Amino acid sequence: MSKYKLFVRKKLLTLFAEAFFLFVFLLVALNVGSVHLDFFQVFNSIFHRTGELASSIIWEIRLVRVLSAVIVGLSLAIAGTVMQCVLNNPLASPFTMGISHGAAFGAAFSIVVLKAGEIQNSASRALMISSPYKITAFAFIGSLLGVIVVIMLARLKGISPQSLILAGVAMGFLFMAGTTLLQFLASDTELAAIVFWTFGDLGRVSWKELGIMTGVTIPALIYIFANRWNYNALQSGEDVAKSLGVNTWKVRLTGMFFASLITSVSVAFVGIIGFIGLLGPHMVRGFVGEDHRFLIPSSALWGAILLIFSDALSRIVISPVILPVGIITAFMGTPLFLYILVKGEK
Amino acid sequence: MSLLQVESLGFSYGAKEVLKGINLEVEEGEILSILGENGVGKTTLLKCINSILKPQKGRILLDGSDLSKLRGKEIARRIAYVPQFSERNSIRVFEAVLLGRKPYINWDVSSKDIEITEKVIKTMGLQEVGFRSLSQLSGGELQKVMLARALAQEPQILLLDEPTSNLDLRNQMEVMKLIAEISKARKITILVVMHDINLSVRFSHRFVLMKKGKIFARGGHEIITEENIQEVYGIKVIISYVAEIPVIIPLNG
Repeated sequence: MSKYKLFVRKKLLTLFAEAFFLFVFLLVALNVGSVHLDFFQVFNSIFHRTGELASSIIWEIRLVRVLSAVIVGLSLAIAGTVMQCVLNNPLASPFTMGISHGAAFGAAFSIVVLKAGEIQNSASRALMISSPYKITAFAFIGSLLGVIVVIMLARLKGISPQSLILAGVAMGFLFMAGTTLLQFLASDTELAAIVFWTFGDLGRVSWKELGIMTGVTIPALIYIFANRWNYNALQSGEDVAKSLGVNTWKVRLTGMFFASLITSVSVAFVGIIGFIGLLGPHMVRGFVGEDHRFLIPSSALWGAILLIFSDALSRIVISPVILPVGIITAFMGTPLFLYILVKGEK
Repeated sequence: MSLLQVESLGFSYGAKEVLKGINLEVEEGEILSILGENGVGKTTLLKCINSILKPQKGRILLDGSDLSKLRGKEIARRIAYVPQFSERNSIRVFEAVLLGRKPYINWDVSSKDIEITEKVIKTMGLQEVGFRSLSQLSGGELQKVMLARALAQEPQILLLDEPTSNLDLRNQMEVMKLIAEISKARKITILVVMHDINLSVRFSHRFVLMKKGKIFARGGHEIITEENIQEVYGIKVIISYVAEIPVIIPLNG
């Protein structure tokens, strides 16, 4: 067998291993929760949806939560992978570039000003999103606002990749300030809803919202995967990519557009969960390398695994209190961020 | 008809006019050196020929068809470009060379793409480092990888920007010899921007001397005269022959 085939086979093996781990983590996460269910009950409930308590817990709470973790985890990881490539910066991600904050601001705006959500006095679903499409649309507009400013700075002023991150962080601060302003204007119940976006939480997603997330995310992921060779070309520099026939400006713009889209649909329903876009791609680069044919699916799977893991951890670390999952991912992500920063300085 | 025709080409970066009324014909299979001072527009000319930059005036004909009317992919199948500075990222040599097949790839690489990549790697003598990351290569190896990527495009025309500028003496000769061999064996036309005028004189068939965004002179070895070089570079030189190789020696003052 040629060396190249072996080389590719190794990467495929990594992908299979990740898919297997994802499956295992899925099963484990279904078994974690405040109500104790044994493995047989869990297994049985997945295949027999009845009105019994175990079945309700699995179907109404745990399954939708775990599947949301998968969709959100892979979305954020892929958004990070794409942004790192098109912005030519290893520190780029939805969180560090302020896109998540822009989306959260957009969502909060639609709640307070446009009354797209309402609060109910039910413990399990404190927030009812009355018009999920409106919230998603505004989250997307918010995230695009941030992206447009950053891209304009890059295009018109030609700022360096390093400064680009600072511009993203600045936009993040601006959106946070905007969200805080909305909190002052909000009623008590709306306030609860907004706070929800500043601490990501997977626990409030319904099947309908999961459906919307999946429906938006899957086509975007296909588009991104179809562009994997363009991303590979971009990695070799602007001129080389152009000389290979790549419309670099278009690839960069559409890359940012779809990265923002999948970020904002996630943020609209689960809030800001930071660092998955950094952790996902960087933790798999050592195994699959920089080739986007493998890097994209591999980061996606790893992002999903990470988020399932973090979410399960957030439920058991000081059980029965459920921590916002964003806290767990921040604890993992910040050291990585600093590590990349220091490594890049050399 | 010439393989490549540049007709009254003009290019400006904003208000700064870089190229003015460039006319040039390039014949199939020749090695053409573009010489001139720094900032005279040599790299810009190469980038225009590859459609990396879009010229504001004039046109470029490739085999008689207007370059601006061809799709990026079509140009990339016929013209390859190696920039002066290459990204030293951590992709593997094989992946870097395989990228040259990009203009031919629709959904995924074919076995033909792999085959061509393997062959080019062998031609360039890169088998040993085939799966090393670019960041671990020496300057000479990196330059060969970039040439290999360009060759994997199976171009008719190869554009090289300062292919020897970051290399030591041995690697300079090695890379130039490789370029000459490739040109001969594959009938690839080569346009090369060079600073090392002595190296250029040894390996090129024809020359373009540029001055202030215009072509000062073009032709064969007969245009490499002391007077012309003095005009173009603004420095007195003498041309001497050492072991039958012409050597251009700059003089003081």
